[in-house]
Amino acid sequence: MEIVTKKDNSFTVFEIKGRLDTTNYLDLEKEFTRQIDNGDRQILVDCDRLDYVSSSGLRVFLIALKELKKLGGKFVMCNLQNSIQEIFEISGFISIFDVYQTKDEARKVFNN
Amino acid sequence: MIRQKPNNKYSLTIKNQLSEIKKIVEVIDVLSADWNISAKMNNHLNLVVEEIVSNIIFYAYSDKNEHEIIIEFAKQKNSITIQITDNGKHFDLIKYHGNVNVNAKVEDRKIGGLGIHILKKLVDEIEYKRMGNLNVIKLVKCI
Repeated sequence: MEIVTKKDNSFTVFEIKGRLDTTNYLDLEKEFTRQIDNGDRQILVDCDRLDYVSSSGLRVFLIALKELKKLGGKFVMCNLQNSIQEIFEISGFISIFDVYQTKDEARKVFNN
Repeated sequence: MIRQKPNNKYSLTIKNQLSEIKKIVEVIDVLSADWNISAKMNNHLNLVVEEIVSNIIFYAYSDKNEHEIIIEFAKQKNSITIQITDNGKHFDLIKYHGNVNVNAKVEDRKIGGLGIHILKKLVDEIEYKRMGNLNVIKLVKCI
């Protein structure tokens, strides 16, 4: 897995690439925590090149969503591949996360 | 260790360490190519095996010793059977419900418990047996 973070106006984009599983989910959890501790309240996760997510990865997304919601922030996702979309549906995540098909649609959610 | 046996079977023995999961990914890639399995099925096999094996590594052992987990794949005409054997504590995942409520609001969603829920949604049959000191889980996934 590779995580690239970029500042885009008022929000931070996380591009997660490759495979998010039980061997590396803690790396992503630490990165979310670091950004939130640094004051980021608006996060966009771009899953365009994320190929695989197991329940360990879902857990990290849920922790970040809950934390940002508590702090009055936003956690938005976009570009889910079909395999990830399927896991989001099975786990009911599709109804609790803000998921958009494209990055352009997703970025409209944020206050600039 | 990867061992290809005759009659469309693969087996793999790993240690109870999370880093061993990458060996499972490799074997599933090899058998997917061999058996001409779709990317979607490859993804499902990875999820099913990872959820069980990570559960075993996290919760099955009360000591710090090294243990072996055996994973076997067999292809039938219209299905794939996966058998996972460990010598950890007795755990019948069929009886485990984990209280996952997929309709709960975000504030009420509990962290964790999702792995077994996903696994049960992705397979067509699950069988659990306690044989001596072994947990033997057999899963069938239709192709």
